[in-house]
Amino acid sequence: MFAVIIGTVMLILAVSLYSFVGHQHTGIQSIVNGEIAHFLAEAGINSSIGSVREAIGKVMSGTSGNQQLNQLLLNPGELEDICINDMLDASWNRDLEEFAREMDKDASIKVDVWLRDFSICETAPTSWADPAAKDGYLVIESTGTFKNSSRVILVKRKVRVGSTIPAWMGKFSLFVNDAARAGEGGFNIIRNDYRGMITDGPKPLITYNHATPDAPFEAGNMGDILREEAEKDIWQRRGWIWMGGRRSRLNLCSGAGDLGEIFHFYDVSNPNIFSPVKFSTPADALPDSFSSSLSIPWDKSSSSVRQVSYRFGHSFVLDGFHDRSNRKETDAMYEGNILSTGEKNAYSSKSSILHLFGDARKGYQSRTRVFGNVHIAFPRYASLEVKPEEPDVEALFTSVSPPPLYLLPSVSENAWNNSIMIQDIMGRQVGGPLLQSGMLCDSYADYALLMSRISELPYAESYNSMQDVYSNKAGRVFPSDAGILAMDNGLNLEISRDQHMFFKGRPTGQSLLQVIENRTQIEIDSINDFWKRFLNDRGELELNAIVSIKNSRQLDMQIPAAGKPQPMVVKGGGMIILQQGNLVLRGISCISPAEALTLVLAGTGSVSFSSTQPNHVNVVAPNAELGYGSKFDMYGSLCVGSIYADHRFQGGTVRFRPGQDPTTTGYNRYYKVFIDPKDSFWNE
Amino acid sequence: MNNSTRRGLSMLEIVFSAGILALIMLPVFMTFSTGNRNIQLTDAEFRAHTAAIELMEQIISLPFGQIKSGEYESDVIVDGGQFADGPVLFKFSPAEDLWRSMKVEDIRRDGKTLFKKVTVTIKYVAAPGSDRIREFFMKTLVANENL
Repeated sequence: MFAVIIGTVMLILAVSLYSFVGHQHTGIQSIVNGEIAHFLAEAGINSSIGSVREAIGKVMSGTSGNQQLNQLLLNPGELEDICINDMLDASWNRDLEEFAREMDKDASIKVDVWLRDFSICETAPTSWADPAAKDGYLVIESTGTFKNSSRVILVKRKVRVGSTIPAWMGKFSLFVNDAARAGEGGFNIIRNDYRGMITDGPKPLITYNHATPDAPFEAGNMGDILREEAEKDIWQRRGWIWMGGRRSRLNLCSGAGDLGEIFHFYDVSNPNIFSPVKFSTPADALPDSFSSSLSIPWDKSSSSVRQVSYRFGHSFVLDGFHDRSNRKETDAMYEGNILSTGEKNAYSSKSSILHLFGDARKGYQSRTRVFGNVHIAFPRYASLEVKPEEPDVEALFTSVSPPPLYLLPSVSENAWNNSIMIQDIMGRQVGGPLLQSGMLCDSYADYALLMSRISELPYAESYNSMQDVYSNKAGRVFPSDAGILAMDNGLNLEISRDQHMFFKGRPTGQSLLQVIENRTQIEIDSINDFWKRFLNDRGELELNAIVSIKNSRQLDMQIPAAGKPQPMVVKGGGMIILQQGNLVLRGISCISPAEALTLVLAGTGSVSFSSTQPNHVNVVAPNAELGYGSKFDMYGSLCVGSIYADHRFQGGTVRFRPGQDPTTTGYNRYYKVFIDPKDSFWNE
Repeated sequence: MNNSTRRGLSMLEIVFSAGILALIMLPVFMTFSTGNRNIQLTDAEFRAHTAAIELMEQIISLPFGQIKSGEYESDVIVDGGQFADGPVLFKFSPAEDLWRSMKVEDIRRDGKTLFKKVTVTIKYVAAPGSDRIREFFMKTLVANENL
């Protein structure tokens, strides 16, 4: 019995040991098989990653590559996890199958490529809500199987889809963060003649807020441009202007010449023939003395004393600022003392370096929406219309050439009295009245309404006057009675397309910078490193990404770099964020309308142009100053903190680029798909 | 109890018990022996597997250009030895009774070397003192990152 018990115990021990060893052996085999499976999976990753990179690289380069994949990534809205093998040339799985067979007839390798964990990343309408901007991962998933053991290796790469157009700035042609940093009238430094031909000194910066016929691409057709002008809400499709900060006043430039701005009031459909629009004051807006005839001694009393019955009316014309005529060198607009010395001191006779509504050429006026506490100033020359009621005097009066002109001079309240003589501007005795101010007006208040003066108007209201011009409105009044646009500080600005609201609120430079910096895809230390990495063999910029440059040495970034051909050709657009330093632009040319380059200067500093070469570029520098330099030509959107206005300012042109307008579908061209070159490996 | 009634085991009983115990213990000892051999085999396989991974990892971690194609036998794959007469030296943990060999092949397409196929083979003695040699191999692909 004892032996049986001992034997049984020993047998149980032996079986247990055998079983344990068996399990251990199986476990070790499983580990070994797992490791083999791991190397098979690694082989799968290695063999497919190149093909995947190539396929995705085509997507990144823009329009080439698989269109379905392009669409998938660039479509607005959420993107669910999706296997994209079908969209790539996934021949690697066939090759891998063959390779796996070399290990074992049941071994296998399968590689799938996924887009996973994508989410919309710009979602705040108060900053910018971009329906297509998204973050996620490109995942290469390789599964190796060997004798029932499987191992999965994941290679993940961060994918970012972002626009290279600077958010809401694409809707603006010009954005000046603090327009009046140099003072309310700080921009008024240009000396020009009465025709609007600049003679010397500083030159204007002219913004064209729509496609003009001479744009490098997306050029407008003249017929279409003129047809569009008749539309009262054309501002919705045009580039906007932001003149934020303190109150600023722009003295309107005189004339209908190359650089004149008189189109605000005149019909300049034929700029070679222009004449002022005469605005007649309605009778009910005039003092009682205008409602009936007055018997007044005539101005020929030195030869024969006579009381003549006269009726009076009132009209005015509007003009711009100029301090030169073809006869005199200075202050031509103040000749004859029609405008007072006080106005001369307050306004000067110089015009503004900012021409916000284009120039006087037919089709180049581009009225638009202007935000901010910005006004235009312009002289109003008021005329007393005299009509002798006695036929012989009337005949005498009307036969004078040039016709008698009774301008009502501007006077200050202190200088006003009842006996200011109102006479023909040339001092002629033509059968007109010996008229004194008190005969027409009981008080200075009445006179002030009638007299010549320099008027101010919110800039945006010029839009309404121009609408009157384009619609050939009969019986125009001034300011226009059309209430299309009024002064707007931009507190509740909206930018939307179809049903999607991109932006709602007050745009600020800082929030714009934040949106842009969050899009950073690559960080580079120095300007030099940037050029080494992104200039191709032909000296073209192939960016295709959003790159931030630390530039800790605060060097100036010249584009193109010194010694490189001008203009620099942009083959693959993108965005360059210079953290500090200055930007100096020397000419930039995009090879196609589908490419755009945005330059961002995050810090304070300056943006300047040192060449007259065209620049197809957007500039976002809300803390920086637009400095003086060469006259420049820019096609895109310009955002600066302020404009340095002094006698060296050579001005230039900023042309709004309609294709970059986020309210149009053309905006979709400028998204870039960026895939991080760094892999992160995951084993499962 | 009466002591005179007590009696011991007879010789026959002892012999018979010893016989039964021997019959029972025989398969027990055989089982122990088999288990021991399996432990030795598992140990050998594990060491072979570790050696294979050790060699494979060293090769696939090299830059693509330094992975020279060819067949490498156990006499050149030794601790401190040069890989393909180049600057890379093998570094192996001490291991007895196993032999490493390796084959590196080019996989070419359109005139370009896209991959290197690396096959590592380990031959090892199944158990100490045994003449029985077993073989274990693993393969992987290394992509040409320079293309």
